[in-house]
Amino acid sequence: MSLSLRSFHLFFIAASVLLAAWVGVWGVQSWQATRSGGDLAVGLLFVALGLVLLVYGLRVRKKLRELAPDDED
Amino acid sequence: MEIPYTVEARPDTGVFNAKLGVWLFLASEVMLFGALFSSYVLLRTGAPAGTWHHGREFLNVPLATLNTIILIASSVTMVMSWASLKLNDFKKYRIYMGLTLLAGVGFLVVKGFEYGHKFEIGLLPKTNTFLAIYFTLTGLHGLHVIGGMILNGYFLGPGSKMFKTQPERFTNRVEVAGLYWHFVDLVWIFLFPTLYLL
Repeated sequence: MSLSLRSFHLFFIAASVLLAAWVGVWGVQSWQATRSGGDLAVGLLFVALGLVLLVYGLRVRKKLRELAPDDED
Repeated sequence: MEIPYTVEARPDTGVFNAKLGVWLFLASEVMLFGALFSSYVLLRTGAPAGTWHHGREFLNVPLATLNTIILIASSVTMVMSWASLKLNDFKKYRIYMGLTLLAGVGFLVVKGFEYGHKFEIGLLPKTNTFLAIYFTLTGLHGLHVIGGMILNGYFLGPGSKMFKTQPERFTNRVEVAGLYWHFVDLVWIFLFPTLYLL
């Protein structure tokens, strides 16, 4: 992994996807325990955010490589 | 005298000097935030059973969710501003950098609203250990956001003149600012679940 902004951005997006998945699980578990609709809504929002970021990450990975071909993942 | 290795990579490090400099700075930042995170973990695990106050008792999760989305979006606009410079599109650069700055303002407004509400109802750092570490961590993070905004504001305003004379050097400067901004965003990615959800 190089020290470029491209690599750091992809790492950040991957970390955000992991966070989104974790918050999704947290939201469902919290809803099961407390029946709090707000927690479930936050969890579902993060699941949607994670999916959007996943698609974005895969697309931007290729596009940024064209801009900085010397950078490694 | 010309400053060396502002554009081309230095042979021994493989990167231009400012990039090496910012990564060394970020390493020191990891130690700073790492020490505070460790303090939080030790205070929490060391608290007598039943005495630790959880963030969810005091904090507003929907507002923090909004701030998380704002910061993730700002990292996207930041990398787009750098990509625009790589494509020699200065107009787009200004738009994306402006959006990044706006996202920073949005984050601070939401945070200010959160802080203001807590102060109004008497929730202060002295109230309990959780709130003390909450205000320390988020306050320090907020200062880093302000620092990043000053840097980005400079590159959007007076500092952008360099693009006309030394476009590659300016692009590298924006990349370095982007690395710092991503670090600040990454810290929030850890702060949000740690303080608000766990």
